[in-house]
Amino acid sequence: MQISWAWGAAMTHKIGKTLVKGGGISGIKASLDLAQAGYQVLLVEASDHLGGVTSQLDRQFPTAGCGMCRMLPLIDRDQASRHCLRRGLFHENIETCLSTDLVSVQGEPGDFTIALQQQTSQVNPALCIGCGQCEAVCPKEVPDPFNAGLTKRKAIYRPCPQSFSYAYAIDGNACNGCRACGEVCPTHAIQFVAQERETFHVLVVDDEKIVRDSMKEWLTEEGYQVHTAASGQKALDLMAENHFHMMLTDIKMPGMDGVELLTRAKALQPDIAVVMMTAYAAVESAVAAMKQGALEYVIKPFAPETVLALVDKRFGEFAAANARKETVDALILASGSDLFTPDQGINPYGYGRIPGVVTSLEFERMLSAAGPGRTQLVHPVTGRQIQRIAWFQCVGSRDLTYGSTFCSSVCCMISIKQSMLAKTLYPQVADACIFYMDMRTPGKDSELYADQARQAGVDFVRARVHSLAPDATDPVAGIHVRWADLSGKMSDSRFDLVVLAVGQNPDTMMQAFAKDHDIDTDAWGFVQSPPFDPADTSRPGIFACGTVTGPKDIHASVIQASAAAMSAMETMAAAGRRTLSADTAPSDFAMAVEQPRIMVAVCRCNGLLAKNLDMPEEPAPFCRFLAQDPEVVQVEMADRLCESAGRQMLGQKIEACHPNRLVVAACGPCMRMDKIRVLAELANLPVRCVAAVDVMACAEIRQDRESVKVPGHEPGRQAEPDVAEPKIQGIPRMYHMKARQAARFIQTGISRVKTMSLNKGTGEDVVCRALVVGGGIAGMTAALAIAGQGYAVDLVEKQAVLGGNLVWLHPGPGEGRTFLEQQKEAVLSHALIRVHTQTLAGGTTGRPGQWTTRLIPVPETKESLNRAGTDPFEKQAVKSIDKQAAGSSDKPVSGSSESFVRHGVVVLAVGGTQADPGIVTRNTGPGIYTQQGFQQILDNGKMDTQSPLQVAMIQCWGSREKDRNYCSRVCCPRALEQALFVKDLHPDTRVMVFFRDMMTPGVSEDLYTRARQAGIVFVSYEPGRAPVLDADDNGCRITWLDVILGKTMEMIVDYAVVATGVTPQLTPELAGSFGARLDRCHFFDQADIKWQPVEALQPRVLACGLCLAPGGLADCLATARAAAARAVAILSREQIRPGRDMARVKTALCSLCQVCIPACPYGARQIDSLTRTLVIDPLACQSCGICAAMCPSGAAVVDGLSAGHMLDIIHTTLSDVRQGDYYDPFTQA
Amino acid sequence: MMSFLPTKDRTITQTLQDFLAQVLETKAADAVLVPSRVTGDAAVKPCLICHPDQLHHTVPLGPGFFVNAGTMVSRLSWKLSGKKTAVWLRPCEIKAFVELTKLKQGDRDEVIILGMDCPMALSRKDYDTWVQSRSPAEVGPGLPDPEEWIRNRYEHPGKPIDGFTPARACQVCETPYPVNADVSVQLFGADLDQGIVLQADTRKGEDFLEGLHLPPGKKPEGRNTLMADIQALHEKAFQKMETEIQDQTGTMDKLNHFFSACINCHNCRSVCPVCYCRECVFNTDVFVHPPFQYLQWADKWGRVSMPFDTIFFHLTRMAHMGLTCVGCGQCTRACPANIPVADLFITVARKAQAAFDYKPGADDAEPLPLSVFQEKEFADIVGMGGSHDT
Amino acid sequence: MPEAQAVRDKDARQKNALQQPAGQPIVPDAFEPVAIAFVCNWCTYTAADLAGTSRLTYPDNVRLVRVMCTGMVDTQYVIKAFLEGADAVLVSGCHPGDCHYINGNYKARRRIKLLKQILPRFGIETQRLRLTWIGASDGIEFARTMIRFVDEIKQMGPCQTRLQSVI
Repeated sequence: MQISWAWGAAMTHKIGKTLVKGGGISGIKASLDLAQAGYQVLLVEASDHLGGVTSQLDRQFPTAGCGMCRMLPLIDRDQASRHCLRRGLFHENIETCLSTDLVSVQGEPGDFTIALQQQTSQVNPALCIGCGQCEAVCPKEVPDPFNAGLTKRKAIYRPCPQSFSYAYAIDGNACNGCRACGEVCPTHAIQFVAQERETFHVLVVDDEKIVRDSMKEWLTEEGYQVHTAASGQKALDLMAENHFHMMLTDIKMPGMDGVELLTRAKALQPDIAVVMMTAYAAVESAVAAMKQGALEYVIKPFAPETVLALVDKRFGEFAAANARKETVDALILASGSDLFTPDQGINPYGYGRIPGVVTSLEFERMLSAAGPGRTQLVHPVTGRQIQRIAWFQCVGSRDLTYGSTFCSSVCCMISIKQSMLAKTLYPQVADACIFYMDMRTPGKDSELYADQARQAGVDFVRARVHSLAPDATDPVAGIHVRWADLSGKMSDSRFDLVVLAVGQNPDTMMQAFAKDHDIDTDAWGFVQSPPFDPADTSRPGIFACGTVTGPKDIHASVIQASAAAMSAMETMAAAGRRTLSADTAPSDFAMAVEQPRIMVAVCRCNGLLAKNLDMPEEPAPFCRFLAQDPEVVQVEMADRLCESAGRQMLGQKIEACHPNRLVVAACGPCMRMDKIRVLAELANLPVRCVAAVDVMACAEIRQDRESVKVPGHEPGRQAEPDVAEPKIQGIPRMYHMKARQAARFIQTGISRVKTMSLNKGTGEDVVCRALVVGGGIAGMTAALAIAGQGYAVDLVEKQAVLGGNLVWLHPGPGEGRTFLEQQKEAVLSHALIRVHTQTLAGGTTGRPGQWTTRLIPVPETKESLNRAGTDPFEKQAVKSIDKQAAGSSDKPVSGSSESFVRHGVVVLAVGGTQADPGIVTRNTGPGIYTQQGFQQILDNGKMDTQSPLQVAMIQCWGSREKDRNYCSRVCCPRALEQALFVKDLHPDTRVMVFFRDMMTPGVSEDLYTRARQAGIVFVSYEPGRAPVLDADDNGCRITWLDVILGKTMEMIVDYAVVATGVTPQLTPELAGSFGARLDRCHFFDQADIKWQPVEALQPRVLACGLCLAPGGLADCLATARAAAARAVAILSREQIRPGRDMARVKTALCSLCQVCIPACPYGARQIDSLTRTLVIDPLACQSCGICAAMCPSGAAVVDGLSAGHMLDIIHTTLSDVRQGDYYDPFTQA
Repeated sequence: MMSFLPTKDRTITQTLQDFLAQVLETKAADAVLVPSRVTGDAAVKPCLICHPDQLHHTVPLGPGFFVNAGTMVSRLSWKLSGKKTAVWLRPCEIKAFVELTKLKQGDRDEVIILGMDCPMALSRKDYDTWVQSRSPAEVGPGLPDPEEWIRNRYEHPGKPIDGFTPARACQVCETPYPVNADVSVQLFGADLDQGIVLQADTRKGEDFLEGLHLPPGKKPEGRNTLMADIQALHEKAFQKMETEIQDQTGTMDKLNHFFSACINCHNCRSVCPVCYCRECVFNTDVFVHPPFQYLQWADKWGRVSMPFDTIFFHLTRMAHMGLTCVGCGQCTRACPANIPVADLFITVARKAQAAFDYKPGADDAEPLPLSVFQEKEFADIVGMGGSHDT
Repeated sequence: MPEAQAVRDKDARQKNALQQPAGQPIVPDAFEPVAIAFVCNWCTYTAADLAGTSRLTYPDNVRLVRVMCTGMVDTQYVIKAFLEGADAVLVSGCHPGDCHYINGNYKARRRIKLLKQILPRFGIETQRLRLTWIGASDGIEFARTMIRFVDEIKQMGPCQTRLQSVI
């Protein structure tokens, strides 16, 4: 079937549809994953732009760049727009609703009814061309939330500076209603439709004028339409003329009393809601009135809030009745979190009082080129250059006073990034100092990044700030900070700026939503996920991702978003929904192959074209100039191509002239892929035969541009040369200059359709089978998720049993064991999963997506025998497998002979293992243990519980340094769990934890708090000064340098437990056989650590679990489900179709020099050994054109960007450089 | 390992012919590729010879050089043949072949490179005059005995013979001695009455020489000094050429003048050993302009010369092969309009190669400069005035 | 009418420039350069758009050609731009490490390095070919670069290729 761009009747409800609430990066990622898998998405965002808080962060760790665009689809990428995501998101399968609230959700998975309420917009985005004249005349200035309030904007404004939509928006709260903008708007895009509340009519009836007037004032201020009546009769008179939604009436009134009025009013308008207002004395009659149908009564005197709450509630019901209703199969909650506002409570850091104290978000905007300082880093009040900056960590996190006892997970990395940026971008910054408790750098690259910051000169001070105060001599510009270091020594420094690293707090709106919809939240108010379903909520069919479920960084949010998408897919599949199939070739393709007959349609844009380009309404010379090209058969002026009426008119002209190529010259909104597609349908042409040119961009040569002002530019300071600052330039006023430029733009469009190859390229069949390497929990989870969508999976495990680390590592008492058994059972009994235990994957051949991998049985090793012998659970596991094997003979469970599998995607889940401690550890009795060994002692109850013991735990043993310079994430929480467990066994047992930084991000901070409360002693040590261990049969001696006491200490302990961290087990050979690589620390090298976290650059190679990144069980499960989501998106189609602009090889010209093969960043190019020709993987190719630039002979081409086209563009762009000498098309014509 | 080829009252040419015969007879190689007379005239081309009785036509050392055999070796080695071929190459031919192997147009596996100290070559015109001026028929019809040339080249390099000087490209050659050969044939500094020294430079070369059971040799005395002298001489010649070329092509106007006789025949690129494209992009549809386009150009500029895209072709060719140019000078020899193409290309190429510290052909493992990158490099060319380098 | 007059005067000056012996300086005021900028779709193009919508002023002598990645800017395109009469060529893309296509900008840098060895040999000064990194949020940086770029070309005067028919 052909996908219609519109969401019309063509869509049957049988196509799966998911609502995603929240258009931040989690919401975008979940939507894109679903859309790529062929499902429909309704993306609902409450604010006026997509991107969430990330749109306010210009740069992210670790590149100090952005890279958000790397989230854009790799599959069917033509269905999404290809530009910076800050400019907006467009995908054929995603309907985006901005400024829209999700009001209610009812129903079951597979059949939810949802109600959406869109905030009324005064600006019609279809008409707004973003000229900005409205902004110029608007008299109201308010703090700009986008710049965290550091700059001002008008009441009419552009929601996001880079936004692709040109549409302005009116801030209803700021607008004073002067309507000046509406008068200047050239396209009449601003229409003052009544605000929603204005349509809600309220009648106030009271004999006392003061009551009537004050109530009218309160309600009018809230936006309601209020009428008053002094008596019951007058009220009835009014009701005869108007329809009222609500009436507030006094009971005791002269003449007709309130109760009578109620009765008569109800007779007139049965649906009217009536609230009785009564003095205390008349409560009885009020109660009586309730029986007669009054909604509620209030006792005078009442506070305005009391009445307003009632009116708002009624209005809510009224609005909900008018809301858009939709049926969806699943929901994903991704509406993010709030940032802590530090001016609440005792406000110890003086935020809001002391001018130089800012939040981390404010500082982020200060660093932005589009922020308040433009390109300068200046003090928000004095405007002076900032030289000394301090960051305070854990503001509003890990803080008992605010009840935020969790760690916000991101603030440490954000502060490191900000300090690095400040240091590297602004040479004047002399001091960048981070005050912290624990520097939390969990994950793969974070530790290295912190090291880079140290090298860049950022100071890290482990200290609690004691107090801060404005500088005595310069109270506005300087801040004195006093702090105590670990030894208790007090220090004092002066800073220009203090940045508060504010934490992520649960969103209060979301909390209310969760409460209303039976969704469990945790102790802090984050949506709670069940322990083994990382993106689920307590309500089936509703999933959650991103910071809704707890504080997290971009990396974790993106992974959880994919996992949530996977869950939604499962729900839709379970409900019997199907996916959209791809469109077919347009019917009139044959015609397009003919000699070009080009029609050029120029949109008059409501007269703006003539106005902005300084040319007449009917620019005959302009048209004649374009028609000079013999292949241009017609140049037509058109109108309003952005609207269907305008397109209809054009359609008639197209029919008359019958072109086989179409060039449309219009304004920005028409450049969107969906619009181009509509035009192509209109002309009955393939999309590649239609080009759109933004001709209004020529009008960018404007006289009304302002020069760039640099706030806080110190007059005394030697200014940079004048040229460095943009300023008003003499605008060259060449005759018809803009029209000429427009003509050149259009000529480039003509060239595009002329040079576009009509060779559509052949699609590549998808081998609908997945290979999952590794039968640990991650591999099993991924296999189950993929198989659950109906695709066959081969699961390969080198050990004799499934389960990986979970065999020894018990996630939570009892439940974890059950979970593992359940997963195993599910895997082994799944009809679509073939399990190959004791098998290695190797010797992969074939092209990406057409792989054939050899499965090699491994003989039972001594190691696996030993393991099976020591672990009672493992024996059981072996038994269950044997049972399985006996039960189903057609399922090869253990590799007996070599075999081959063909597969289209591969998921690497080979896991990781506890790192070697480098010392001799013990298996029984007191001594030195690894965490794994100690866990076995605890699990098997082999520990003496009669007498108190001495236990020491040493964190970061050989980890976070040298070649394993990463935090393994799992050891700190595990150590705390073990410490608490030991403490429980005997309360007098002494547990000491030696640590560098306790890494308990997110809600695992709770463990840390509990451990401290339980009396567990924490001793910090500096890198390179780890405690020294010395063990004999009697116990273990531990020696360390105590930082606080400043001397060497010694202790004999029964158990010394070293946390060695995780090492991945991925080999370069295995990764390399699919074109993937290992990173610096031997983990799987992701395409992008933040935006493509589970895939390699070659998009068919996925990874999850510990071989991808260190993490706990929840992390592994999330990556497994995310990898499965990516795999399903590929497997869900029969063919991978080449994109509109895809690399091709002109085989006759190709010398097979192969310079293009390594040049391709995605590994999309390969030599087919049979035909000895170069072939391209249509999925991997992203049409960047790098191959074409590498190829000297022109054998590598990218359609749409071909050399011929580019040379044409260059010629046209420069066609007038000497025009003055010989010819002027406009004067001659 | 070094071996010795005694001359024993033979001419150098005869000595080498006998050596090649021994190579074929001992099956040290299944075939040899060596410059040889083409029957009936003075033309010399690389010939692939399997039978020793054909070797008397060969001219291993001589001033005739009309094809860069590097290309020919790539034709013999782009795919496995199951046979071993010994190829007798000038230094610039070795470099060309090595560059071609990096471009996957050939493979060293089945090839034994015998690299010679270069006897240099004459320009096309000089070669014809030289042939005419020497009495014919001593060696064969149409081609004089190159012995005089050979003796002069190795014993008195830099000294013209009767006014015959080697071609410009040869005069400025940076390495007239073999680099990256399997066996280098050392003549500079050798006592040619005694014999010639062969040195194995690779493991393969050693095996090859061992199989031939030649007497041991030792490095010719004075070879290093002589080579240093030659290099100094060539460097001086290069600087002179660079100045001249700068004078002739220093502006776009001059460049136009320099190429004014160019007829866009693309012979320069056809003979160029490192222009490896099957078809030049300038011969493809990208440069087949519609008539309307020509008229637009003419309209824009007032006039345009036909053939079109001539300067564009040459500048693009510099960008495409400047980094791999081996300086063999064949482009000049092939130019029907007598444009000294090589002089310009060598000058430009050497600067480009220096910028990337790249020596074409010197090292098989050294990647082509445009195929690799480093994260931190060339900060000087980024940004406006260098203040934005990151 | 003054506007048309100005153009005619300008043309006359250009004709004079054509007849001037090479190397003679041209009065910068008299000269409006035309430059071409190959800007990457993801970063610099977004920045240019941002500069436009932020109503920043920068000279419009630079004509933008949007490319997917600076890594696709073939040496041919730069050469062609000069031969077609551009006074200068700018290639601008994402900052190192931020390239949408992972490393296209590094490849572009090497290509520009090569061209900077070749073109100045023929009198196309090295400053006429520029490579910059401008991120998506750097609207101001974009405007600034344009101002500085145009200013420098004005100082240099027209490129020879603009005055001579050399295709």
